[in-house]
Amino acid sequence: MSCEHVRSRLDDHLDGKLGSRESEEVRRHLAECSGCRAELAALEELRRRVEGLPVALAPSRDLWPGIAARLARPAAASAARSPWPAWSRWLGAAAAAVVCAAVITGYLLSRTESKPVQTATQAGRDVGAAFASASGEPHYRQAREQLLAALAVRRDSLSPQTLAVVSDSLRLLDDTIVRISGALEKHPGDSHLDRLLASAYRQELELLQRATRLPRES
Amino acid sequence: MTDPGANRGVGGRQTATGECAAASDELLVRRARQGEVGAFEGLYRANVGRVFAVCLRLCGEPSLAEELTQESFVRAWQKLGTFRGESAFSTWLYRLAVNVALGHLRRRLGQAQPVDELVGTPLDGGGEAPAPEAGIDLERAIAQLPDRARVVFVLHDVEGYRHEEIANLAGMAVGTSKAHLFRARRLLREALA
Repeated sequence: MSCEHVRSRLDDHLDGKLGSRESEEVRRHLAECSGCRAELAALEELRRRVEGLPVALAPSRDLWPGIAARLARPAAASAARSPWPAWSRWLGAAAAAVVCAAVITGYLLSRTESKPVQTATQAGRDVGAAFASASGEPHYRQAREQLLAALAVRRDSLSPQTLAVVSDSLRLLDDTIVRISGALEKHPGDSHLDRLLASAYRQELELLQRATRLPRES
Repeated sequence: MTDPGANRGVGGRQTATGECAAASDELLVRRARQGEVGAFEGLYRANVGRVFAVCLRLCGEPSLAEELTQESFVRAWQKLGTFRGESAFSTWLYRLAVNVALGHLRRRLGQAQPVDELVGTPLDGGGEAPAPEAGIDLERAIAQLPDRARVVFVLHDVEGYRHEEIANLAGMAVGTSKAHLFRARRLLREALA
């Protein structure tokens, strides 16, 4: 085995990647050749120094302010790049806000709901499960009318504060339903809008159903 | 994929400090994913040193390494939703930083010529060792290596990647990666002699 060949195999020798026969040949050569032994020693020294390299190094300045400034930017940048049309972005945000409002309203109302009062109409039962898509609109309209009628009957038994919360939430939901419906007219078949509208229907009926089941407050 | 940097730990074992850091990272990641920038700053503070180190060693230029470090953290913030927690956050982040740095180097070197054809060509820095000088340290010697030799050396010998992984990341054949490593080690030995 020549010195040139052995030196070309020293890396693999150190890495333990040589076959047993070749490894033995390299070992035999090293035992007899001081030049190749010096090469091996230099390679081992390099490996030792690499292992001593620090894992972390400090940059010359604090890089965070630059990063933080860029984190603030992407919202606008990503909006500009969004494949969604502008109306769908604000609509999505508005719908999310309204859904949150409805959930909060439901939570607040449930705190005052000591014992369900069975005054809701038939249409008020399990309304939440009725809409898998916006195609349930006729059912929504019918259930909404019946629940509003039931709520009107109970109007005097609820406090002004509760009525205000219910009324504000309904207004928000109605506004959102109108906007989503308008968008659906321009983009029929858009499944995202369809699901959004169905969700708004469901939220509104659930809110009405809860309101009609509230115990007497005044 | 091996854990980049796994060969840098104490005997490859997870230390108690490492476990605490991982647990702390996990908590911060959860909060950062909810949009809390302050939590992400915590992740930055905990990991910036290592991200900067790998960027610096890969590109060899401190100011560029700082830019790449910033870019890595910005991308990490943007991609936080894709982090599934299957590995430690730090491991995920270093891989991302390596990809960011390699992406930059690929653009710098150009894509017109296949990487394999560049071995030993003047574009790759020729075959000369970095000029030996008194007191030169290993970091500086690494920085002076030709780009591809440096990338392979840093990924293999410093960060613990396998040749197959380097070949995949850097777009070169496994044999080319081995050739670059051989050359990098030779150049470094000569520079440090």
